[in-house]
Amino acid sequence: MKVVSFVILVFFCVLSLQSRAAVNDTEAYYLCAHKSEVNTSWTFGTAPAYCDIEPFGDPDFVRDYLDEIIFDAAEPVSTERARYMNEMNAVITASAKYYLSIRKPNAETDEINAWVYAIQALANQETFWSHYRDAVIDGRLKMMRGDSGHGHGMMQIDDRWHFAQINEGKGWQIFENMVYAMEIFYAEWQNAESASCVSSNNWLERTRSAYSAYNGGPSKLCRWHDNIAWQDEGFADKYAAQTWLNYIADQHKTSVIDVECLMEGVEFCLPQYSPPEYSLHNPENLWQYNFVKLTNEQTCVLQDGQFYCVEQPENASCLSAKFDRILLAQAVILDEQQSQAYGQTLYEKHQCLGFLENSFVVGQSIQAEKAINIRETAGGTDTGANTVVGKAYQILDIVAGTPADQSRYYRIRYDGSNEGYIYAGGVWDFADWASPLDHEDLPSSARYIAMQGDKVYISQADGVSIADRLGEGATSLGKLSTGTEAEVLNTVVTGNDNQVYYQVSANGLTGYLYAGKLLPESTLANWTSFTAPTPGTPTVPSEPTSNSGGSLYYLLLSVLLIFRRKNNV
Amino acid sequence: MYKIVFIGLFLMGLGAFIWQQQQTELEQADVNTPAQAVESLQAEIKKEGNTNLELLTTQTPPVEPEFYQTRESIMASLEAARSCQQTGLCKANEQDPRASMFEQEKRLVDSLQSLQDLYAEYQHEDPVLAKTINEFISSPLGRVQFKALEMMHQQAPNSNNAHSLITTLGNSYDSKVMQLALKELLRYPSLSEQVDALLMKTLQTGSVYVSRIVAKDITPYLNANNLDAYQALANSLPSQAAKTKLLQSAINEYRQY
Repeated sequence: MKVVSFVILVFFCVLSLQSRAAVNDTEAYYLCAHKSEVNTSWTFGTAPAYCDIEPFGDPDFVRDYLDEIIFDAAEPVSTERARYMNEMNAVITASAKYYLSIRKPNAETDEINAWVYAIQALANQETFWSHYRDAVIDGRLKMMRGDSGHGHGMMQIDDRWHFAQINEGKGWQIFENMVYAMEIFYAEWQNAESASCVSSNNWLERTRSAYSAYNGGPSKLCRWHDNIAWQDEGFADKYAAQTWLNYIADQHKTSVIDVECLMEGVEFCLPQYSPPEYSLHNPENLWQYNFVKLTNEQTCVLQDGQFYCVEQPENASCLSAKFDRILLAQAVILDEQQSQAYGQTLYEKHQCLGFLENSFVVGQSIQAEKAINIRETAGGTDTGANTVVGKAYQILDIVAGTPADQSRYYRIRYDGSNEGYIYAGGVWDFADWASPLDHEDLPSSARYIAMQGDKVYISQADGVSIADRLGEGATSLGKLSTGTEAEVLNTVVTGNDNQVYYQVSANGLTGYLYAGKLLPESTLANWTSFTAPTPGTPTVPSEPTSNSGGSLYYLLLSVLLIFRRKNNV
Repeated sequence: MYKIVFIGLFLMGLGAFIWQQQQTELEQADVNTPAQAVESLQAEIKKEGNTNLELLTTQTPPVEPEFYQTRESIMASLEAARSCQQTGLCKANEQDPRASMFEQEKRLVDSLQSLQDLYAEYQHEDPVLAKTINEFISSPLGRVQFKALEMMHQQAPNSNNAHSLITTLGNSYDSKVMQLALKELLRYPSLSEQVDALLMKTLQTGSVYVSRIVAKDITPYLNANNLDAYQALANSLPSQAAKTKLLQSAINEYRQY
C-alpha cells in the first residue's frame, strides 16, 4: 500500500512537469485594428494584410519623420513601387552597414557587401520589403502583418515567441524591427563562420547557413546543406535572383531619413533637407527656414551671424520656438567649412526647452485634462495605460515635438513606479491637455522631485556632499550623513539625463547637493527620500518563490496523508 | 494528531526509500543522490583536469528520499527535453520551423523551474544543481539561459558557474539575460578583472541592446581603479550612440559619490 500511495504521489509530481502552455498563445491578428486586405499582394513594397499602427505606435510620428518609406496607396502602384523601393533600399543598406559597423568596426569590404546583400535577401524572404502603408480605404496609417497576423513588420517578428518585444515596439517601429532581427541574424552569421557546412570565405554558404539558423533556430545552421527545408530553397532563390534590383533606379541613393540616429533609439531625428545651391557669403537666405546640423552633431539655427545650437536633435523644436521661423522638422547637413563659418552658442537642454511657449518645466505639477494614452517614449509604443482626468502628476521630462506647433510631451509616473510620456498639445491648445497645479496641491504619494518647501532625508549610505554653488568652481561645505533632514529651498534640473540638484538648508549649512538623475531611469531614491529612514531595520530574506507545481498537488498530498492516517488508525 | 501525521510522513519516507531501491536498475538520470553526484563530479573533474573544488565543498544536510525520487523524475524530463528535437518529442512544423525549438525551450524551462521549486521546497543546495545550472547557463536558447541564471542567482555564489557565465555572455544578444547577469556578477568581486573585460568588450562591439543595458546599469561596477579606463572607453565610442550617452551618464553619476 505504501508503494502504491507513493507511486500516486510521484505520478502527480511528474504530471506537474508535463502540464504546460504554449510560449504565448497570442491570438491571430493580435491588436489588429481596421485590418485591410484590399488590393494588396506579395509584391515588393506590398503584403496581403495590414493593420493600423495604433495601438502599438504613434502614426503621427511615422508621418512626420518616416514619410519617405510609407507606401502610399493613393498613388499609381507601379510609380509608387519604384519610388518606395529606391527609398527603402537606401534605408535597408544604411541600416545594415551601420549595424555591422557597430558589431565589427574592422570588417573588410567583402564582408560588408555580403552582409548588406544578406539583409536585403532576408527582407525579401520575409515580406518583400513591405512595412508601412498609407491606406486609401480609411486614410489610416498601417503596417504589414504576416502569418495570420503573428508576424509583425518587415522582418516578421513573431508575437507568439517575441511577445514582450512586440509590446516594446520591435514590431511597428521599422528601425527597432530591423535592429532586433539583425541582432539574431548577426549571432548566426558569426556562428556560421565556423560551421562545418560553410567553406572559408564563401559568402553564399555563410549567408545560407545564417538564414537556416535564423529561420529554424541555432541548431539548424547546416539545415540548408544536410536536410534542406522549403524556406532554405525559397531564400536561396531570392538571394540568387536579387529581384529587388529590378525596381531600383538609383542604387547609390542615400536616404534623407537619419538612419543612424533612429537606430540609436532616438525618435525625433531630423530628416535631411537638401538645399538648393548656396553661397557661403549669404547663407542665411538659403538656410533661413531649416535647422542645420554641424559636423560636431549639434543641431542649430543660424541667426545674426551666429549658430544657436542644442546637443540632441530631438530638442531642436525649442530653437524654432526661440527664433520663430522653422516650420519643418528637417535639417541641412553642413560640412566642416560651413560648420566653422560662424560662432556657436550651445543651449543646455532645459534652457532651450524653456523657449517653448506656455510649456512647463521638469518638476512642475500638472493636472490631466484628458484621458490620454501613455507611451513608452514620446512617439513610441502605447503602454496600454491612460492618464486620469483631474489627476495630478509631476513632470519628470519634456520632449519637444514638431516645430510648427511647438508640440510637447511630458514624462510622468503612473500606476506606482511606471513611467511614460503623454502628449500635451502645442502652442495653441496646450491648455486642453494639461493645466498647472501648485506643488502644494500635489499629493505626497505623487511627489518624486522635491520642490521648495519640501523636507527630504539623505538616503545615500555614504552621505552626500554639499557645495556652495553648482558647476565648476564650487566649494565643498561638508557632507550630510545618512538620515539627515534637509529643507529644500530650490530645485535645479539640468543636463540631457535630467540631473536633479537641491538647494537645501541642513545642519546649519545652506548649499547644493546632488539628488540623482531622472533618465534613463530615476536614481533619486538612491540619494534622498521624502521619509526618514528607519534605523536598524533588519533585512528579511525573501522566501523562494514558486511559479509552478501548485496547490492542487499539495492538496493531493494532504489527501494521501489523510488516507494514510485513516488506514493506520 | 501530530503523531499521526508524523507517522504518516515517516511511513511515506520509508516507502519512498524502498521504492527508490527497487528502481536502481532503471536509473536514467545523470545522478540520483548527493553521493553519486559528487562521485560523478569527481570523475569529471579528474577527467577535465579541473582543479576548482568549490562544487565539492558545498556541505548540505541530507534530505528526505522523496527529494531524490522527484529529482530523478525531473532529471528524466530534462533529459527528454534536451534531445526532443532529435527524438521527435518536439514536433517539427514545416510552416513554422522554429516551433520545435520553442517547444524544446519551453520544456527545458519548465523542467528547470520544477528543479528550482524542488530545491527551494527542501531548502537544499548541492553539486547536482550547480552542475545543471552550469550546463544550461550556456544554452543558446535565451529563455533557458535566463532560467538557469535565475537559479544561479538564488544559490550561493559559485565561481565555476560565474566563469561559464562570463564566457557565454561575450556573444549574448539577450538584454534580459545581461540585466540579470549584471546583478549576479556583483557577487564575485574576485572576478572583477574578467568582468571588466567582458563589459568593455560588450560596450565596444556587443549587441546593440545588450550594450545599452550594460551602459545603463554599470554604475555598481565602477570604482577608483577602473574609472579612467571606462572614461577613456566612453571618449572613444561614437558620440551619437545611445550606449555612449548612457555610459557617460553612469560615469557622471558615479563621480557624485
